[in-house]
Amino acid sequence: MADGQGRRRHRQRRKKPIRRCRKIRQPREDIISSMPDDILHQIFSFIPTIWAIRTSVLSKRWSHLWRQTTSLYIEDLPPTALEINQTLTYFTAPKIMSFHLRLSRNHTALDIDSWIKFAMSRNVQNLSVAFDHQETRYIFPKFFYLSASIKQLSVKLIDKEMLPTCTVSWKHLTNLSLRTCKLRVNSIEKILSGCPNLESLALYQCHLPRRLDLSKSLSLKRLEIDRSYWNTGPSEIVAPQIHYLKLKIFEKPFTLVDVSSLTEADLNIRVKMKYYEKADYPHSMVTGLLAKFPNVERLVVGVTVLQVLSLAELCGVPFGVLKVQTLIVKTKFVRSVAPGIARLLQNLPQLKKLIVHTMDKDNTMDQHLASYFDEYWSSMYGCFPISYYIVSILDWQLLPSFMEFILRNEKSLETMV
Amino acid sequence: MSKKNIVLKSSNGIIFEVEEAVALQSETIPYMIEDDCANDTIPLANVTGDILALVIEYCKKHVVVADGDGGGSSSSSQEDLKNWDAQFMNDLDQSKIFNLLLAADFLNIKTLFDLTCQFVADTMIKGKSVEEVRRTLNIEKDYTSEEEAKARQENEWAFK
Repeated sequence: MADGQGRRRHRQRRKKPIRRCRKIRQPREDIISSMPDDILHQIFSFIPTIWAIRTSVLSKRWSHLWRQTTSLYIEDLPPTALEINQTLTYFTAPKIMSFHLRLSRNHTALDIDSWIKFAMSRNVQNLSVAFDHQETRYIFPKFFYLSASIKQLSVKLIDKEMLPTCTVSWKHLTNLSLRTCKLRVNSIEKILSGCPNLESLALYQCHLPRRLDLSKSLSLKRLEIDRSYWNTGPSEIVAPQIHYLKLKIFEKPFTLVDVSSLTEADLNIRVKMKYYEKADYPHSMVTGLLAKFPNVERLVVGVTVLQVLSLAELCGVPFGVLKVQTLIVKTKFVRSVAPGIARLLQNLPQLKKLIVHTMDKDNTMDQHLASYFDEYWSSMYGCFPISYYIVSILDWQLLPSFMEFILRNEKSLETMV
Repeated sequence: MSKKNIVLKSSNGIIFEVEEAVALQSETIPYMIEDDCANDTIPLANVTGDILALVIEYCKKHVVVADGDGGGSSSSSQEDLKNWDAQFMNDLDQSKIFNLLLAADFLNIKTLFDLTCQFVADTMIKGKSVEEVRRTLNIEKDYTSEEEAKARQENEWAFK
């Protein structure tokens, strides 16, 4: 290691009788400049490349370090297209591990093409292209869809279509993440058939066809879908081979047609609507989703799911027994979650471990729920505050009664965190 | 199930006995065990006792969660770990941070290496003026003013 010198100096310093106060006065040694280049490149990889470039004026040791960095994070604020073009010519690493392009302004297709080409010509493994503005009329060029080096790809378009006009070939792509992109059925099919090694797919608020059939992606193990706004798809999933599913949905109907290999699931629902009619409650949908988790051993549920289960309990909508061994709930200790937790625990006879996370943010659907159902639940769960007042009560004060409540409902539990 | 312990010895001779699962978060240690099977103690000539103690504290924290939580990357307890990591780093002075980074590199503990690199990048380089970075990292300016001006000129936009 090239840090021997630094460490020796460090030891000498520690022998001094008076210890310096930490953080207030800095040690006088320059340890970082004696670190090997690859470590400094690693440090650069965590921040936008502008900060690496700025180190070029620190001292001679740093003057060329940034040029060999293998992880680039380029934003177009402030550099203009011309300046980006100029700066890219200085990078000398023959192989680029990661290239992250984040564009907030309009550029010519020629410029954007050339930046993507820069990364792809250096066999980039981890490519991320994010358009942060809506106006772009950019369409990915054909060469973008043909890469043998890319292993991870992330694309963000704001409500624009991703439309491969050619065959897609991302032979080694294992992780694909798409955010706010629009995709037609045949575009998805083209992309999926071009990624034979895809293991992980994440779709964040994408406009997709109603039915998403992933059954031909044989390597796919992990699927994450954020459909927390009503106008984004899909609403039906066919993915019999996946092991892990993370789902964030809106209260509109959503069906898991086939997820029969699932062993791990993370379920969250965003509930915004006011409830006027019982028929609108999403409880049947949620119990329907849980019914698709027969082999799930590890389940994560958010607070609104518990609240919806409380509604299911109230409306007498049952759901079956699950084989879950580890349950993680992200919740608040409010009255409206209690019946849901109680029901869930009763339906998990094999539960060994329960992890409870209290939440900071108040994204429950309480106000409607609490005012509507409080009367009903106050006799059974009176020890929990109704949500409306929760802001003034610290969660930990409720912990003892919550624990007691859990233990009343749970017999097989081995660990609780 | 009996748990196997591993004995680590720091460069200044301090002995640490840790559970195998804790030590094996380092990808370097398994090779040392293979190479040095006659001896039960693994000497770490590059890591001082105070730094090794920090490494072990980190590994202990991370092994408990990985073990208890089923190891799923989706775990919400990752949030807790993140908070713990942030606090852990915040409590360290700069030379400890650098030596911890070098130890993580030497012991090949990827998550700790990334954590320390990220911390250095975020707190000592990002968002600071050139002069602030020099002062924070104690870098001596060995440029002449002309040389510095020339370096600035090359990527003028980055210094606006």
